[in-house]
Amino acid sequence: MLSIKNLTVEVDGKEILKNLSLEVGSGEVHAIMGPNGSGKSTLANVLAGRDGYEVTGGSITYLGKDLTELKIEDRAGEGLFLAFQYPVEIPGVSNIAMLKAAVNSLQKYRGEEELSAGEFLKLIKEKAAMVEMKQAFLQRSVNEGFSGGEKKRNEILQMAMLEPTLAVLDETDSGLDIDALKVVASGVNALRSPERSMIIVTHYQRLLDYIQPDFVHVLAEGNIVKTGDRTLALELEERGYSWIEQQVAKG
Amino acid sequence: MSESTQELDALVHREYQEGFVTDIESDTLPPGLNEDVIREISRRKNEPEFMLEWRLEAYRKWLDMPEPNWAHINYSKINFQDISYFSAPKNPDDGPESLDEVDPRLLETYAKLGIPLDEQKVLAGVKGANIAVDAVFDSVSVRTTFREKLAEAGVIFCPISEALQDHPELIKKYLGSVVPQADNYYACLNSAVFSDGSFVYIPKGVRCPMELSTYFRINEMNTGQFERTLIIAEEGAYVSYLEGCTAPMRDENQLHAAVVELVAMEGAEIKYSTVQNWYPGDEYGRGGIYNFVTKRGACRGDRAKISWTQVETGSAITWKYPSVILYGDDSVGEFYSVALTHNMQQADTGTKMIHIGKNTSSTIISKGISAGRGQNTYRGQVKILRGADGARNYSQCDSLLMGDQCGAHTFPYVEVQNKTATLEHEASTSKISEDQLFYLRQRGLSEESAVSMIVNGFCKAVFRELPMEFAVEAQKLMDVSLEGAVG
Amino acid sequence: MTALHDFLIGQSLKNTADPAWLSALRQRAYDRLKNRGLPGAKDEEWRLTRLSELYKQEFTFSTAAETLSLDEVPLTSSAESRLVFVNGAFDAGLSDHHLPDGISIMPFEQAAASEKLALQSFFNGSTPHEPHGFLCANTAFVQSGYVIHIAAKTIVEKPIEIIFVANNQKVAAWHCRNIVIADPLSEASIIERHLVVDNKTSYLSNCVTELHLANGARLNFYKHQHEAEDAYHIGGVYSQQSRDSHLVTNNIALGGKITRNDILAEFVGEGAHCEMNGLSVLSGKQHVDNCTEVIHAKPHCTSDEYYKSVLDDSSRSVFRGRIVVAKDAQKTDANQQNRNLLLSGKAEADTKPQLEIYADDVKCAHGATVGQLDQKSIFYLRSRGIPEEVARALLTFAFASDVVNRFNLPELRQQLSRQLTDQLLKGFLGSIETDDLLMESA
Repeated sequence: MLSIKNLTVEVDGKEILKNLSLEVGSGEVHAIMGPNGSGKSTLANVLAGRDGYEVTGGSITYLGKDLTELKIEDRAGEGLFLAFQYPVEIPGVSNIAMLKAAVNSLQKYRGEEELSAGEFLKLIKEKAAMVEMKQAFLQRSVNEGFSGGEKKRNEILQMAMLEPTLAVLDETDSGLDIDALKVVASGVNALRSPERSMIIVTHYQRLLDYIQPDFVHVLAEGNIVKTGDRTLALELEERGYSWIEQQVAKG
Repeated sequence: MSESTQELDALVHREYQEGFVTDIESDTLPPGLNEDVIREISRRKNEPEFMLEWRLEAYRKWLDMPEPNWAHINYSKINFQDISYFSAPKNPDDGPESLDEVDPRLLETYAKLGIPLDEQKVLAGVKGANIAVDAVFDSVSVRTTFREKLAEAGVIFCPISEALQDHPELIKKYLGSVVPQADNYYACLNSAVFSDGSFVYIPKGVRCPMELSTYFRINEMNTGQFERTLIIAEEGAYVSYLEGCTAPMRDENQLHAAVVELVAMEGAEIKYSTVQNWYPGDEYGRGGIYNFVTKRGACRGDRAKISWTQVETGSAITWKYPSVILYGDDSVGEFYSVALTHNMQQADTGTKMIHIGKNTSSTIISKGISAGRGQNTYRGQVKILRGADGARNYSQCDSLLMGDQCGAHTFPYVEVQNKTATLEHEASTSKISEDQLFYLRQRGLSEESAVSMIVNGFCKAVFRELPMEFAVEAQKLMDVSLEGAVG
Repeated sequence: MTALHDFLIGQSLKNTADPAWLSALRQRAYDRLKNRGLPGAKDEEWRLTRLSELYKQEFTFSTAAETLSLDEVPLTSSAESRLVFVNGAFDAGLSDHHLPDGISIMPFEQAAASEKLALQSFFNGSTPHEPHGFLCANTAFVQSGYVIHIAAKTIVEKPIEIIFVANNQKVAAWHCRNIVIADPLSEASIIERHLVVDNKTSYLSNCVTELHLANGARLNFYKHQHEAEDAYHIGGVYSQQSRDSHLVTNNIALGGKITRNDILAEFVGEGAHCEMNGLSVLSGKQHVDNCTEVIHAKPHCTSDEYYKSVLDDSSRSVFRGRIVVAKDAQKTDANQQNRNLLLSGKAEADTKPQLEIYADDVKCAHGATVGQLDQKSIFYLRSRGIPEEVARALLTFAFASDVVNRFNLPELRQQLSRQLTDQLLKGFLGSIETDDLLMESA
């Protein structure tokens, strides 16, 4: 589904990702862990096509297409979804209006017929219940005045509505208390399916207690330095990132 | 520069859509200003003697006044002798009796602007159905629709030049009663040379049966437009009034110095909305209208209410402070504003709320949007006088910056002489960020829809104060005015 | 110099139990206090709080605690564990250490000596580099206080309660230092109460609390001050927050003659959030000065400040809200609201927001109001048959309980609501249960 080969990415002329390769198959859940500044968020942003992240080497192939050739909104149209580390506030634009616009845009891109207002409402109510979000939230401005936990739940709601093929979750757990973390994790788990792949970027191993990944990759200094299963995350927590950094330094 | 930024950049060069010139024969006074010019304006309008005297009195005061320089704007000095103070389409002399008498090119002009001057068409269910229109072309009113229907309700809606003929006693009583001749430099000039404008009188207890509106159009070169609007709502009356403004694209600057006076008696309500889209000049700051406007309302009776709503997207320079003087107890003043500056536009706008009566309240919501190299200043005064027990004010000033070469400035002035007053002020400055755009585009929206969504969200609190049709118009205007502003 | 200053610098710093690092810090703070003195009317941050009367007094240091029974002290029944300090000294007999795993609580003097805790790396770690005189005095003369350490990933469900109680003191002063160390991903609620048994007592409580939050830690902190009529409370809550941490400080001031609180939050990691709630309900000649400061030193942090005061008689509230957004702290979202309700023509509220913004992509909003009760609301209630007096009391209660409704601990919400009912509703609503007045918490 997603094939990243020898990817090198620069931000402000500085190399952040260096020769990184990653293969993600259908239905797989990959966790990417790493210390501050290792390039985790860069990977998430470059997949979504954020400006300022320049691909200087390697390739990203997604569903057979060169992802780097596509505009931001076209990547979304192709089923790529990014759950933001810091979801953005858009004052005066209601959550529901934004979601309607997004759903319509995606359907237009895919040449599908627009959902009727009734169908849309039914769908959104169902998905909002899944992330324990009250109806009133849908009428509020996008992320404005939301608590940290509400913002992250809103990301999961959007993900549920847009039904992506590849979901990239960028530190969706950071800043959450234990109860909010459980809600977010169960939302994510409910969306797992054989057709949907996920890349979960996180700073803390704790999230992986609730969402069990198929693979764990450790990112350090712009490259994946270690790949394993769940147990790798546990080992990381015990020994700390400095353990990895030391290993890398040793070469 | 990214590809998308380039696409957007191309859009910056979009044309000002109302920038065409109507080729019509005009009767224009030669440029220059002196007492003879004023006498000539008054003569052509066949004004009563008191009006001429009033004009001359204003002119003499004006000669002694210095040009103000406190606003946060830069422009080269205006030479008042280079401006023509009167211009009118040549035919007909006394204003059209029916649509057939209106020059078809004028009708075409207003049709192009989307303004219904044909009552039949309006009645036939064209969008914006229940609206009476007064169309002012350069210095004269060319057509006022639905006058008969309004007359049935006792409402007078006509060009002010006609009101001077038909209702001189009302003019004599109210003109200059809210904005005195020597109030400020531009108001004083207007008092001397004003050409036309709308007059509205709503008798006691009457709720005006339709929205009233005036469309101002500057066409002729080197002319200034000095219209004067006077609205009087007697006890318990209600009126909603809207003005729209456009002008052709020209390389030189043109002056627009209008005065609007509103009088609301006990329990009366006046809702005054403006969608101002004068030609803003090009991206290098060439041309555009200098919009120096004095607008003020007086709540003369208890429980009177005056509400100003403005959407300011045009003009090279905007200098206006629609204000309310709250004399009556429990009277209410409101000011809702969206001011957008793009390219080289400058706006220094805001309001004054003067609380005199007891339990008076005022609300100020100002949304400034700066893009390109635009400069946007909010300047607002809230004054609570000694006797205004229990006065309340709520002010909210938000600025949205698009790009890093524009500026937003906020100058609130608060003066409180009564301890029982409650004042609340909120202010914020934010940036339409790459983040917001990226967020919406990641959800599948195109860049254009994303910008439109963000800006309209920001303006929501003001747009919802506009009559429905105009809210839609304002929203579209924002989209057009901002195309290419991000990148 | 003043009598209080002379008295303070005349005190001995020697305490044989001190570890070397503490002795050194004491000496440095003492020297600074001696050279610079206590803050006066010329200090901008203290200008509006007159301390001349306090400065005339010569305090003694409080010595042994007098006997006290717990019955006289209000408790939080749901509290997990409790430390009690009487006149600034730890009272083991009144304290109740029921400790769940992953958490340790001890008096300051014990913690200072513990090598395992390494308190020296936290002590004064969150206080300003240029401390004012009272903070210097606190460092120089700290005698007790509490230290709480919450281990990584520990979730403490029930609140931890600390009680500072004053009892029968005549002109005494004490200096306590409290330090909370919250390790990564831990979660806890702490209630710090300042109470008095005999309202006629006079004293100076100089009580400084430091909160240190590691990555992803979450802390709800309550400072509930209800000192004696003649008491001076000069204190502070200084916090330092690492990446993704989440702090709520609630500052409730109901008693005391003069109360001054320095509430400071500094973000030293990205993605952190701080909420500051404050409520003062004052009457007589009470004076509360809340000097708040939020330092956004890192990007993507959010702060939300909500301070309210209800002022009756000749009481006075001073609020300073300083928000600093450093050059690199992009995407900061800082909100500050200060609302004051004047119930009397002689009451006074001074509010001073100060926004210093050096970054260009930030969202900062502030609002301040000083006003009376809404006439329209009073009219509405009266038209429903409620006497004016009661209508006023109800609206005042609503104004104040708006802050209480933001608290996350139901028991505390109820307790404070009851207290506000007593104070503001003055028995108007005898038959109504306080709980009925509580809004459902958001």
